[in-house]
Amino acid sequence: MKNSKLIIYSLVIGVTGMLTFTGCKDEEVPDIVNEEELITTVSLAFENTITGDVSTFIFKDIDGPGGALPGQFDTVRLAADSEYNLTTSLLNESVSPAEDITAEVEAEGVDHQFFYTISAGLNITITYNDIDANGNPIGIINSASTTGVSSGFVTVILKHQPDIKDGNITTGDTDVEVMFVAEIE
Amino acid sequence: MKFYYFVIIAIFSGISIKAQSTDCNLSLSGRVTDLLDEEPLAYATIYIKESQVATVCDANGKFNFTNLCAGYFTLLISHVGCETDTVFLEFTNSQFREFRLNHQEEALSEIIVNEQFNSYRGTLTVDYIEGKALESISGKSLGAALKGVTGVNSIQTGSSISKPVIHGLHSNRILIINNGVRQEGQQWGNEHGPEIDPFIANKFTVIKGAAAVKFGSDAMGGVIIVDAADMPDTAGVSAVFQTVGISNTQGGAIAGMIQGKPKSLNPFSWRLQGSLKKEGFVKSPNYYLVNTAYNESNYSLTTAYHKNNFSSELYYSYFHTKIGIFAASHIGNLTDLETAFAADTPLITGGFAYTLGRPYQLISHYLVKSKSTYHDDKLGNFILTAAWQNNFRSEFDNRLIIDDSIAALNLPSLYFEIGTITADVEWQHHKVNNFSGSVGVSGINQQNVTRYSTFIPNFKNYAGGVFVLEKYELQKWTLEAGLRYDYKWMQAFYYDDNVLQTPEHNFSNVSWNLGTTYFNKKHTSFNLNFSSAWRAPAISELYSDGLHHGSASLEYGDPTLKTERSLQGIFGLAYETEKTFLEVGVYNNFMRNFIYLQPALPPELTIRGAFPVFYYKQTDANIYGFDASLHYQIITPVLIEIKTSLLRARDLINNKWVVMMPADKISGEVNYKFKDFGKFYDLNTSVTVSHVFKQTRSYADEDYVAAPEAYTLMGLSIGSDIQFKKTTLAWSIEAENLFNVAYRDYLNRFRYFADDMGRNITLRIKIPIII
Repeated sequence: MKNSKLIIYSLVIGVTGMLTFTGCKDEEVPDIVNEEELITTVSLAFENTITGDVSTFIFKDIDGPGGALPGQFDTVRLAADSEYNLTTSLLNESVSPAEDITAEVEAEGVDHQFFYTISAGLNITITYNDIDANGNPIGIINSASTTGVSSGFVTVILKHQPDIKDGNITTGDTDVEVMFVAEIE
Repeated sequence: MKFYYFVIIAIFSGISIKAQSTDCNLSLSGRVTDLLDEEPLAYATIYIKESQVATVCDANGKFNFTNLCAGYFTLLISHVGCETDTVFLEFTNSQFREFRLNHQEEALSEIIVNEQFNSYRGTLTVDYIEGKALESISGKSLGAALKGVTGVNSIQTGSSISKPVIHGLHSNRILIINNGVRQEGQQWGNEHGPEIDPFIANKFTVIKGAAAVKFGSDAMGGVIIVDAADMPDTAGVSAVFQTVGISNTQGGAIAGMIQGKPKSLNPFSWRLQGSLKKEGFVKSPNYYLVNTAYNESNYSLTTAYHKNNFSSELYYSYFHTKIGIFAASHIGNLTDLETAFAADTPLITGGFAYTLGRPYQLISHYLVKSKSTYHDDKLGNFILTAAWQNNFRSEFDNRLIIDDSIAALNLPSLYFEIGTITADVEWQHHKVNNFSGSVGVSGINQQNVTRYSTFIPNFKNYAGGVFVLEKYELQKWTLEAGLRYDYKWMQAFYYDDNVLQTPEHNFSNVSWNLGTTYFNKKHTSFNLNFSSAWRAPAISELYSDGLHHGSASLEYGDPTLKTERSLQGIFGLAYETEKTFLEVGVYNNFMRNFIYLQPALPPELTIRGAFPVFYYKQTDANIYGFDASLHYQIITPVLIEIKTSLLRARDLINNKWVVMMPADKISGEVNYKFKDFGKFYDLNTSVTVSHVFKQTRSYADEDYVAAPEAYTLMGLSIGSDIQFKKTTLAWSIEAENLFNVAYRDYLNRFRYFADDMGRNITLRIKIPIII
């Protein structure tokens, strides 16, 4: 009987001790996560080939997917019957200074391609003006030409096609997909 | 595969060994005693597998076999309330042996069904997988291994990740007890399989329904107990070697166990166990599932001490796996998903390989456990279990833009590290005036660190519980009642706009259980159990925030979620005659504040396109169902078995079905047992047919793709034991999905992208060796 009491006491002390002393590592405060390769901003810069005026239209979601809603989402407004040089750029503005993702896309050009889809009735055509190391388009530098007054959507899609780049919009993963409202005035 | 040649050679070289003349006038006598108090065990049964003879001990635990031939024997020793013990014996001369059985198992094993008749003796509904049934599933993952039990399904991410589902509940609502310790990893994720090596197990116990009083809150859907064999209690060294070859994935597994009890170090015994597994791409009937390769390596070490009234065990195990995720299932955004769903064949296909590229999961799990038992003649048993476990999970996604640096390439997209310490003390008192039972205290301390993502926050928690469980036994009736109180404190750590948030949560509640069993030795038994269990919301349910890689959805937790509570009743009936065994179970589980993911419109706009949004919500739900199995011996060698499981789950507040619940299924098996010939024993072959109905209780507009059609699969298997001079080899060949049917299962997430596994032929060999 004495023996068993001793056992009970030592068990209880043992358990209490284990839970108290083996406690926590002091790692509870999390790292501030900078999501790697976050793209916050898509910018479309249209340079009028005659006037040289540049109009820039931006989609910006500073905290990435989820969280706060996009802070800036411009409507693309272009003049009818005009020619433009279109430069698309991607930024990570969640870090300071902002990181230029476009350069990385360009460097990995053989694995990436921008696609521009135009909704029916919107009078704009966009053509590629750049090539990767294999001679295929990347879509960072383009030309755009508008005709009659119209409205619709321009969707900018960046596809990641590692070793499978084939000019096809359904191949690979989508890195960026933003549908801009567009007005040709 | 070299591996197959080895196996084939092993079989044929084995068969060619000729019988040798033996002495057949030997006797084996002895005594069966209790491992702890060394009291004789009256009416224990001993079965010699090779000779197919059995005897029952007398009231003093004594037995005697006569007219035995010399040979290598596998003895199965069983006693009510004990685990069946398997002893390998090199039998060359008449002898007297003493066998010790572990009669003082945990309270639950007192709820043991009579192995022979499989009748109910406990008030909980329990299923066991052991012996031949266990051999026939070796090489499968835990989730897949338990699918044969009625009422159990698995939720899968391809064929390599599968989680058990008991009566429709899984993940945080199921408890897995691995060698006496509650398994703690990142259970919340559907694509997070249990980190357990099934080769460790000597027995799986599946408790269907809440068993929260004994095991703690969380055990509201059921409990899966993975038990290793008892440590050896006779001097000598023995080993078991197992090998599995899998045709579909051109892979296989090898596992080995060696154990001993040195004569010189008498109270000590030891065991070393390990397994290796490697599989290539899964082949569905029409294409390979690219990047579904898989490898796993595990080992464990046990040392035990047993002297007089005290026994103690120290156990260490390591589990490590790298699992490739089907390349075409891991996709950028909703548009990509829709493209993938619309395609008949996966968008990425290719030839067979063992290569493991992104996306993949890398998981390590460490467990150290110590368990000590003190037996007091007057008071009963005192059991102290303490365990430390650490779980590391890295998930490597397809990356967005390739960063060239090697360091960046090797970084996971998501990393979790969770450390858990558990301690349990239990007192099992002796039977006093027909009362037996136990009292226990348990504690847990846990800390989680997340890196490279904020999907779930860092957190720490402390929880403790105290319980009492008593059983009153009359001749044919048993009454059981239990009560438990648990308290849980949790603190989360995360940043909101770069400001550290440290919210705290407290949860406490009571679980109870009330049950009865009626056992009529002749034909009928039934059990009826009512129980109430609860669980605190899991960290993912409280704090998920953002993009769930892998499911391409945005998931948001709710820190105000309340405790989830279950009130359930389960009724089981067993009827048996000489040729028939019928088992029926019905259950109803009412869940208050049932936590689920609710889709929300509109999809959220992000730079990667629109993503579907889900919020964790609570409702009241009712889950009810029916399980049945019938064994019928038509004529002596032919046994028919039919099983069925039906389940319904209603959301009572929104008045609709709860989705992601198992579809109804029915399966049948015809088994033919051949007469023993030569060295072949227990040769039998079986044909199985299983039919899974379409899950019609789902909503096409709330799912990416409507539920898949019903499917029927056929299987074929053959196996036997072969007795050699020094060992008895067990082998089997099993064909699954014999006709290579292309099908998709509702609970397999890959159903969105590809067909399930095609025909698969598995060869299994098990060789016990006495050294």
